[in-house]
Amino acid sequence: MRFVSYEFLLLLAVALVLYYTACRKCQWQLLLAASAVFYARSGALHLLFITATVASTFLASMAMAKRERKRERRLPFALCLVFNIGILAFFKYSPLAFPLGLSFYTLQTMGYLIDCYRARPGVKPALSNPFKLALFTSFFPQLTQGPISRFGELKDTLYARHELKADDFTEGLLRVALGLFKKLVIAERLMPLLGIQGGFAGWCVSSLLYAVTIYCDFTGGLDIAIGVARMFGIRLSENFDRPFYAKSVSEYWRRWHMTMGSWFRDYIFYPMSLWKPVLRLSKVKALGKRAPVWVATTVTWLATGLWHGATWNFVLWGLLNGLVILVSQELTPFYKKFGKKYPKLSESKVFSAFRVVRTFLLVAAIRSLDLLTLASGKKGLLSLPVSALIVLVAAVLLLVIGEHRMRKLQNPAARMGASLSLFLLTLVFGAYGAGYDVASFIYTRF
Amino acid sequence: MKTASLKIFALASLALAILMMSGCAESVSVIAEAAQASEAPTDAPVLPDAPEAEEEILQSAEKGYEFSHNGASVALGGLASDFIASAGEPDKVFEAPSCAFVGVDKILYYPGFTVNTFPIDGVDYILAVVFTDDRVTTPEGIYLGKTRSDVETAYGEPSLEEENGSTYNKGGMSLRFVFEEDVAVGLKYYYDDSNEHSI
Amino acid sequence: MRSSFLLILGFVLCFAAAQRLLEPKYMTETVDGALTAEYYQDAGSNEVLFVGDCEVYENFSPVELYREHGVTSTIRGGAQQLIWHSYYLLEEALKHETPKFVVFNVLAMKYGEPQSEPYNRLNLDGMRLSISKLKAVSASATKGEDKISYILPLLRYHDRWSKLSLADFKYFIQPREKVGHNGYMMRSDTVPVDVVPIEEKLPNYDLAEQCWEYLDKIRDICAQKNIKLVLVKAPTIYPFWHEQWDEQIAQYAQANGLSYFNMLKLADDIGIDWDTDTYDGGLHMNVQGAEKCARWIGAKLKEMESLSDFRLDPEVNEIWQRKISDYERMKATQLDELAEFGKIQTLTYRESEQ
Repeated sequence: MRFVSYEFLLLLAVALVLYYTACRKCQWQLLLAASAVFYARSGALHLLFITATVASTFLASMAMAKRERKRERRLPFALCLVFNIGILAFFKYSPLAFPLGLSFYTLQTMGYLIDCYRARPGVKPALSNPFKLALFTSFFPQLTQGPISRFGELKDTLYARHELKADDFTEGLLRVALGLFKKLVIAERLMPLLGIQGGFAGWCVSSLLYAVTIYCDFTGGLDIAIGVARMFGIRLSENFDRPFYAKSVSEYWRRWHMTMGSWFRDYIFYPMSLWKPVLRLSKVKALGKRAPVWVATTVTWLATGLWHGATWNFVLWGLLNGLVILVSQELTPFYKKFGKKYPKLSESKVFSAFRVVRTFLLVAAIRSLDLLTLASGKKGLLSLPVSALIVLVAAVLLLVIGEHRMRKLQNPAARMGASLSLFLLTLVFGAYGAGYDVASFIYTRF
Repeated sequence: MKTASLKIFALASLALAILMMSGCAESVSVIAEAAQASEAPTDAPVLPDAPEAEEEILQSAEKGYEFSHNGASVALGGLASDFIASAGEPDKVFEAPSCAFVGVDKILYYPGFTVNTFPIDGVDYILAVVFTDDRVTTPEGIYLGKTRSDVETAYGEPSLEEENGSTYNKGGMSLRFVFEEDVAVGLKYYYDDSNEHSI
Repeated sequence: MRSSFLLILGFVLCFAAAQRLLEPKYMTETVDGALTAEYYQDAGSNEVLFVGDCEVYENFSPVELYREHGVTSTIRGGAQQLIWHSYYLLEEALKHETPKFVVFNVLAMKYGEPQSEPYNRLNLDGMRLSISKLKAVSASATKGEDKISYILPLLRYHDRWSKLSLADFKYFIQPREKVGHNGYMMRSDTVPVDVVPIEEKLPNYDLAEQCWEYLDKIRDICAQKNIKLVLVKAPTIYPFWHEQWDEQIAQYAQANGLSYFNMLKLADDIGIDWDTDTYDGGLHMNVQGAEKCARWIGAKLKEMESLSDFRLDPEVNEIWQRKISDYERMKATQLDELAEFGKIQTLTYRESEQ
């Protein structure tokens, strides 16, 4: 089932009505049922894999809960980890149909497993109800493209009873409206143009177009996910914080797909960098003190690239990001010297703007590796009719000027007004319906 | 399980996991090609249906059964003007305007056969070729009046067999025979059977 | 709460306005699309209801039927109106009136499957929302069609924002003009028959099972309401109406006690002149041919059952005299255009006021 479909709208409407009326005492159970329906519509066979993930994680967490010592928890932990990562790896490299949301729910559930292994506060004791774990794994708004939630952060809101509040509902509605606007008015209109154009100028344009498309598509999907959850009174983590305002690639990755970044940081980077064999590398003179950081960063970004895709371009993309971040870190002393020598310039708005633009271009360039998997010679931006170009420019301007302001609206009536206006604009100017095939969100392929 | 065995087991599992995650590096390119070639979702963005789908149909029809007249090959889905330029003007033309919409289907009459066309954006494309009598022969040597067994000898097993007809599908187009008492009385090359769509 | 209500109301009004602006008006191009919605203006007290595709709405003149025989009639016809379209349009029409005759053109029996989305739109968009419409949409939808867009046409036509014309704005504000004269779309030009297409042989002449089912439904609904069903094949030379199909319909008619007229075979009786009575080389009648067909069918219907002569009813006659006036005015306009420009430009008109 797609987010942008009439059947999803129907499922959402029915679920919301029941949630706040007939099922007020069984709200989380209703969400589980809705999630099962959502997932089953995408392929009953895939239910098997998500069930296997939930079952194996539950059994492993129960086994670990009985063992006080960490050493004793290793076997069930390792078995469950290998099993689920194995499923993920299998489908990454297999030509078989990729189960919906596999990458996302695997990361999310393995996060829970690792937290159980580490017996982190808030996770101990582990869930004794497998259905609650099933809901955490399969909660339908976030199933297909995140955000990747941590159990400790989500459990209080996910299983609690929620009353219908104007604040939650209208804020959720506004996020959904924003998401649909980004997806249908902008992303869908740009999708057919994606591909490497000839020449350097063509490559630049392609990269920029792709950056805008993926931003609108991904954040649009997340807006819908977060908005839908909010309409149920459930707060999911934010996943984007105006990434195109970042002044460095490191900062960019702290603003883009934040939950993925923090997952890899907490579950791969930190353990890797604190692992004794890696720490010992800092004592090897030829490698230097920062060797553990280099190793941990490389492994983390390699894993990030592999998580995105099994093809070489994603691996290269991951490693390039890691390399740029490491080089930037190594150049930090020089940046500091520059800042001391030219304090006015380095603190000026012009310089900040330069850094923002530089970061945007750098990230767009690295991201353009994705485009290499697409056929070249696609139609250029100017192949769009003038009317479509005007709509695109107007929509992008509306986003740049208005998105942040709209997200900050406090008054429920104002939010409602903004939502309905966005819905109307999307209904009229959206690229959907006859003659269009609304593509899945890009990130649902992971 | 003893501590040492546990460590070995865990390390072995971890090694297996890393192996599976990293894949076989040397086969990444093969996998990448397979991922692109397969119909399974890849990590590349999914693009909307190409608006040139109709052109693809038209192009693929050229690889099917062929028929030619006066050295001019009839390309199903090809431009009617190209055929007319090569084969000469038809003896007569029957025009059938579409019901409600702008566009005129045409039947071009040549000695022994007709060429049916349909318009896209004002340009006529060849929809079908219909034999009208035995003055023309297919490249496989079949003409109206030949028997059913002659047809099967020339073309083999039909893709669809009916009591009074046989249809052969190849390269996105079809060749249909109509029989009366096992004698071919109708023959049609086409790639879309809904040529009555416009009326 | 109050502000939410007002906001939602505002949204609904804006939605409705956008829908009204963006849906096709069928006033300048593809005017046939206006016919389905126009039916409701002419419905009420017709003794004859013609049902079918363009072989009906271009081949029978209700005005002439009234003028010659005093019989009131209207046409429930649309472009490539398939048999399931016809059935549900008939079902809905019979909620507005109960004629004595339903005349159904059988060409639709050759189409066993939904054909194309544009023709579905032309036939069903103008239908008022009803159970019949929902059933019609369900029966007609081609693969990939969003059925909900038949209830909310904005979902289908939103993309027209980039193709809006002056006509869209004009008819957003003012009511649309009429295309049909009680469902008849007038063409006063003449293009004689030149080439008669050669019949193409088919391997199988069985008409689709689904079509027979719908013909049975049409027969049944007429029988339930005591309406006489008359089957016709309009006089057109293309698309082919094979002899094998004709026999099947004739057998069906005989088995079910229905009358069936193949008007192509009866062209001489009707007095059709293929040089003067068609506007497109024999595919459809022009106004002369349509009037001949109307006079002929009227005589046949009167032989089957006594029909009122509404020319003697002052109230009804007054209404129809206005219709005749509008009809003749359009005919004169079209003939003038043909003389001056060589082609017809006027396909719509404003009804005379009372």
